[in-house]
Amino acid sequence: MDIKPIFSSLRRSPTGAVLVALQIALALAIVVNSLFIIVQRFEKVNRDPGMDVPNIFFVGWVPSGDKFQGEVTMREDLQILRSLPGVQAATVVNAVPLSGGGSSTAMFTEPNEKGRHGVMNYFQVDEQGLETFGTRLAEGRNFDATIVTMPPKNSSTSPSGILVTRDVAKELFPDESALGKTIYTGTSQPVTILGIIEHMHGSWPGWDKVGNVALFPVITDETYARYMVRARPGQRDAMMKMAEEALGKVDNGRVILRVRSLEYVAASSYAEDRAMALYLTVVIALLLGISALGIFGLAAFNVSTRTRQIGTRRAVGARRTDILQYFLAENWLITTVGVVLGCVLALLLGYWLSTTFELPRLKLYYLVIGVVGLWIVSLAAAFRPARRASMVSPAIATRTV
Amino acid sequence: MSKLDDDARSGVRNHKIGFIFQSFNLIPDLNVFDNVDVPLRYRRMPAVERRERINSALDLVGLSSRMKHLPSQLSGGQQQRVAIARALAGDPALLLADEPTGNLDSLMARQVMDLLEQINGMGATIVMVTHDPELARRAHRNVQVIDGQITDYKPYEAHSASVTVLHPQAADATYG
Repeated sequence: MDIKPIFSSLRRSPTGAVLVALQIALALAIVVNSLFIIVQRFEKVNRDPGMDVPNIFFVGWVPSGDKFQGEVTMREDLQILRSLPGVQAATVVNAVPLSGGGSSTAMFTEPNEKGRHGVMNYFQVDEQGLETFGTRLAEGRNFDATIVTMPPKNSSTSPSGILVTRDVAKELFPDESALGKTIYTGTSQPVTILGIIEHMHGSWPGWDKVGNVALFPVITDETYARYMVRARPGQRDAMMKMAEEALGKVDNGRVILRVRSLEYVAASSYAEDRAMALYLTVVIALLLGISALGIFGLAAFNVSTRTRQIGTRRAVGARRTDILQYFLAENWLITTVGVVLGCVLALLLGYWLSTTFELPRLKLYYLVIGVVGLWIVSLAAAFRPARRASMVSPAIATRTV
Repeated sequence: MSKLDDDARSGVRNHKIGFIFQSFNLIPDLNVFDNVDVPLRYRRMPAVERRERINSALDLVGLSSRMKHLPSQLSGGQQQRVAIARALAGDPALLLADEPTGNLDSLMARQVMDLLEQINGMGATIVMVTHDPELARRAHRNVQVIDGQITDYKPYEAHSASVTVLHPQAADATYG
């Protein structure tokens, strides 16, 4: 197929083709970047949180009246929860992972805030914390009940030993094992790394260091305390109901506010990501649809205004496949001009998005996917008008009216 | 012809027949050179050979100097000469001319007829449809067709070269 005559023809009547090419360019730029964002959001939502999310739930409560006795009450409640038949482990905790709320601190490899430092999102839990989250200990040991303390309110006392995730360990000790090492708080209190958790997500799913997590052997005070419970597989919903009933029967000065699954918490935290992915999917579908309509419209218009010309071509020897190829090639040429321009626009848009919203840079293979996708859409859109053109009779050339 | 499939009929039109239409049927977006090139491209002919044929056909019709002109930049007579060049470039065995002077004034019509006679003189067989008895008299043979039926056959009237004349409707059958 020679494209010179097609190019000559387009050069002399460029308006429609230029508009469609611009439409394709814009569509490609937006589609490619939207697709990139969608994939990122899906990757974020589908990351392994390192916890037994489907079987975990938490009980939110507040102290009420004089009967509440701090650690005694909380241990009493934990005892009730742990005695339920479908409960695997339970702990008191200062924040719910993946919920968007929590606490963080920085620790250093040397006193007086010197040496390497690691930022971590910490959870205050008791000796069942590790088991309750369902995380895997890669090195070292879990802390036992003897080092779990409940410091006075507003105290700056730090735990003597903690568990950290591998992400934290690498940040503090990139070239050696962090296990057994002493690190220091901002007030230079020494803390020993007792164990290293393979992987666990903290409170803020959008944080780029969401895997920087530490477990502190501390019973948090009642201002922040919740109970986190891990049910045996398949028994979470039953245990949620049973836990609420069992705790409700004991009048020890606290009021149950809510019982929620960690799945619900995670889904709420990721709702915006899912909504964004859905929204962008709709945008992509609309853009591709509108582009297809534009291509179809231009091809149909060209065929209807060139019927006599097609008849002449047929009369002088063009086969039906020649006519079909002519219109598909013409459409391919317009689309190609559009996608070349669109690639430049997509890269510029990707750069702007990455600098303005601190997103990763657009990966080039998304451009390839976008270009191939638009070529397919444009060929599909132009095929019907092109086929109609190929059915024009050569006798049309002899009509003078 | 009617038993051939579409591709085969296209091949016959492309290789054996040259068409000259009443309203020229040039492609308005292509210049003179590219218009003459249209049927040759469907033959998958090498570019060098195509160029030679186009140059020679345009030489014959006297339009070599207008190769880069668009049809809209030419007079009616010149456009019809381009159409004749397009029909001739493929070196067909038969030229079918469908009222080739129908859209031209008398001067232009005479020039086109002179050209057709010249081509005929070079050995090409031309079948021309016309309503004009004056032009018909310039043909070697006249076949009168009324409502699709041959009503009269006149073997050669010594006026000019061999042009067979048909009723316009009869030409449609050739296109299948």
